[in-house]
Amino acid sequence: MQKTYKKYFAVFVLPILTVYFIAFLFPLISGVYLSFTKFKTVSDAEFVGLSNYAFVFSDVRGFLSALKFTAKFTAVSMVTTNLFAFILALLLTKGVRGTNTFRTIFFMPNLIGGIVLGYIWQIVINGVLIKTVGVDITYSAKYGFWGMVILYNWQMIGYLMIIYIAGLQAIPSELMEAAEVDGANKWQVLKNIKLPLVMPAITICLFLTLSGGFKMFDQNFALTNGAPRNQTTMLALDIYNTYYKRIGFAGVGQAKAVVFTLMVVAITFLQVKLTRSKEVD
Amino acid sequence: MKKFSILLVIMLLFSMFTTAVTAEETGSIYFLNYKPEVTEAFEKIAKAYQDETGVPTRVVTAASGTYAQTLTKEMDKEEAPTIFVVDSPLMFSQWQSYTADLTDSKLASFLADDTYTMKADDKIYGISYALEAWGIIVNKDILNKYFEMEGKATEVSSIDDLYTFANLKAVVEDMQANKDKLGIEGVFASTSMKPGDDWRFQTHLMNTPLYWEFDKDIDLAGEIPSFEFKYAENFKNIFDLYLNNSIIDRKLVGQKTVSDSMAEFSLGKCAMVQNGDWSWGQITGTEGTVVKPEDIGFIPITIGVEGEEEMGLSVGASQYMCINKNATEANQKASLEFLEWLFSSDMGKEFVAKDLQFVTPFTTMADAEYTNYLFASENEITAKGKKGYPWVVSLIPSDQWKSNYGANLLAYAQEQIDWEEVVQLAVEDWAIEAEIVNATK
Repeated sequence: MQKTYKKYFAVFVLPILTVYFIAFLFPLISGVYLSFTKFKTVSDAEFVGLSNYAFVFSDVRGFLSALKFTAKFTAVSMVTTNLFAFILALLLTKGVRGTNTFRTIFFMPNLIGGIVLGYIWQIVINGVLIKTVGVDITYSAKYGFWGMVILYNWQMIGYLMIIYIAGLQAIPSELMEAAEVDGANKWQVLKNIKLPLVMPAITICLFLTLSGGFKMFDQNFALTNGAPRNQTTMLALDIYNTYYKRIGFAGVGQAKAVVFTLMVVAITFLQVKLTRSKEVD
Repeated sequence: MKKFSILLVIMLLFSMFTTAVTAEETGSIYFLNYKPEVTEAFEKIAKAYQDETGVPTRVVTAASGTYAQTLTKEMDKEEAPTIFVVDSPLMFSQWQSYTADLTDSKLASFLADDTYTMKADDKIYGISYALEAWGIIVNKDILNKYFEMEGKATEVSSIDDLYTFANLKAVVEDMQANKDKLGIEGVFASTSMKPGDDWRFQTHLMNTPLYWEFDKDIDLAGEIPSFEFKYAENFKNIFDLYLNNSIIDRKLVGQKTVSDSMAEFSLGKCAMVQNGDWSWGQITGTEGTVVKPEDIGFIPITIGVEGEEEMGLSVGASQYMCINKNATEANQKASLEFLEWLFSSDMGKEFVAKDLQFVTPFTTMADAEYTNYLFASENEITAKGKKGYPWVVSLIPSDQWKSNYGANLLAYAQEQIDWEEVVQLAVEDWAIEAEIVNATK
């Protein structure tokens, strides 16, 4: 058997390996290389050592402020999206009338692209703010922050809800019946049966929202585009602005992207490890 | 099949031979066009010229934002462009080895002076073919209504008296107070400060204070000078005037786009809007437009500096035509003849005025009839002997400075930060950006 595998290695694995190398590994490696250079086009890169990275870590009003804002946003929205999604999932596994209709409705915002959602929510939020406070979303970073949290919740809750519903429905009914016979109340059932058994779903959902929040771009771009005064720029948008809008800063943008990638990988790796340890088999 | 291909080869050879012969005799023209918006107009012109003279004329347009790249590619080809465009001193320096000396050409003799040329060592290598101007666009109908209004608080009774800031301010504030009588919602259109739509203020409005600050020694091709924002108070004068006498509350400018502002002007909701002659199409093309084309005109931007009543609009050239030095003699000659025809023959001038809608620095174009009243207004202001402001905004070190400044102006409009902070940040940012840019020069 082993021999046959080896024999056909080239036929089955080589094509996809080539694609993986061309489309993933090679850009990744050349991206890391370019972060140490100054370049206009990829072919005329000039090595400049660590100066790009030095700029990144001293870019107080750019990268570092974006990092702070992104971390705050991700922390808040990770909690709210998962909380609301889980509550909805609990409600919609109770067998209420019209369950399927509700599930569809809650899932639908996820089908709309981030740019479109961003513009729609911009109109909604501006409408409310102008009516009540007499200013618009560019007035304060607070408005931009909560606007993005609302938008992200709106978009993600339905998707996470479906994952949680799948997790809840996979719980064997014997367990629930046994708990009922033993006289466990609803809170005890939730805490001792449902939560531990949907832990894999929680791992997935936390991973999705954590990495999604960190990597968020189009919603940010459409809703606030950094206003006011770059205070609501998230990491991805800051990288984009550095790379495309500042002449001669492509290398710095590349360095930011490398730092960004490492950060997202490290944080999500840590999170998956932590929540995995809580899962029960 | 074989016979057919042989025939094809023979035909091909023959056609090559014939073009080669005609090209040697009369030359041929290949113009690499910079402006996508006039692609069709140029194609029409090329066809008309070819029909009239028999000289093969080809126009290729580079897609928006890809000119430098397209030019690099085309110059490598056997049949390289004979006429091409450079858009800045930087681009000129990169292509200088390709540009023919135009100093003694007939085309250069059409120029009133050499303000709008690209020069090196006192020789002309590029000539601008499209000037753009900006100032305050006014609706003369509404202004006249004000001038004839009973009980107005000012003595000003003609548009010609609006060449000083003091008069402009008095009139604008009185008009704002009487906006219901005048049938407008505010004097100025919305100050569009939405990020990305704030260039009318973070760039264009800066031209006037920058001009006065760098008055003596403006070297657009040299190093970025240091900047103190000496005329910050003057900038605040005019910016406050825009914000406080507008259709909307100054706190709501963060969502307004340039199109919003131009539509407001077009619909007669306001009397003035700061913009340039390129916005003509936007004004006259708005659905339900009420402003009559002949009522649209320019007044200069004034900020309360001594001597500004002698100044006119901000006028600048951003694109310069060059002739490819490495093309054959015949082709160079044909190309020059084509341009001379375009800017001096009756047929060519009509194309320039009606189809291309270019304002040129050529004296031969003085009697051309434009359908754009903003151009007519520009000519009137020049005829009054007013001096144009050059494009000092080219000295702004980077787009980063512009967008930071725009964001700070927005925060100031919303009364989130005070003016001193705006000025301080503008000066600090300038120093940072200038250092970065100068280091690469």
